Amino acid sequence: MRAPDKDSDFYEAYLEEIAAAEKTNSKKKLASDNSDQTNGPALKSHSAWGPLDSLPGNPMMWILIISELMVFGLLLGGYCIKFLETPDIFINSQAQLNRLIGGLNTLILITSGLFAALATETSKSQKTFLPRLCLSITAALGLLFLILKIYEYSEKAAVGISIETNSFYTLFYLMTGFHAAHVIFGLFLLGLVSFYNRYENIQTACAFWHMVDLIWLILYPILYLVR
Amino acid sequence: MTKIAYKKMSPVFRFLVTWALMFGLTIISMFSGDAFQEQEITAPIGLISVAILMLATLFKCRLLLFDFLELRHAEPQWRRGFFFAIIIITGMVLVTYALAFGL
Repeated sequence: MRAPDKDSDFYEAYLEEIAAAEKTNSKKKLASDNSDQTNGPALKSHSAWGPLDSLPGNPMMWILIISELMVFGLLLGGYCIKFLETPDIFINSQAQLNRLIGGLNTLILITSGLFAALATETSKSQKTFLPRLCLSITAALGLLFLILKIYEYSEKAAVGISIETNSFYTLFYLMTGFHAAHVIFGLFLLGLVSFYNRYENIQTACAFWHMVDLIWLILYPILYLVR
Repeated sequence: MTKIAYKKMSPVFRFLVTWALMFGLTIISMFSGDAFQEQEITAPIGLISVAILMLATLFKCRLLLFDFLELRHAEPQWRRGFFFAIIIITGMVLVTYALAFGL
């Protein structure tokens, strides 16, 4: 039986049929067994990662994505608590942020995510030129993000604002700086898989990039816009 | 756009639609948050604007998770779990704002 496309409406029904056929085969195998041993429980196919197997791509990358979401979620929880303690400091500090640069950075990362997804898709057919082109554009946009981030930090430094200025800026620099470190590591990964360009490698590196994008999508409105 | 029509799109076209939606939602967020105004504004933006911002964030994250990260092909528990995590974060911010400035 030819497998339907994963996007098809029949894909789930196909998976159920396969599972039912495997169950029937394992029951037949146990019934025809002439051994004196007591029949144990029905044979089950053992997956290496259990429930993580159903996630697309490398399960270790998904473990990383989940842990990063937890870390940034907790940082944002701390941010909310400090916001309630000292709302005036937060409001006045947020007013000084460059919301336009933050917004541009968001648009840049979203576009880089598009090219990362295209890189994954084009690498399925084992081509090399198109995935490399898409990865290069993704990396170039990531570099542009970092340039704007450095410009933003230098703008703040020019007026004497640093990580020690107040609790808002401590959290701001901590979260955006930690995020920028992930962007730098992501650029390194994208460069690596441009050479080792198997589909699985590109999928894993691009999953990391999408995680970086996801974190920024959450950070930008909360740090820059909600006030 | 119906769910079946969305599923029948080619992956590349679906990525472009996802990107366009995320781009548009970001522009809406920027307008909601006065990002295009240059002067320093210290007045609160209001609970409705914050709610719009958080909803836009929620939907952008959902688009990224389901289409770019291909969570659409994973089991429903995973999709619900990740979406619930984003709801918790955005809900936390909305509640914080409501507590700080009153409903």
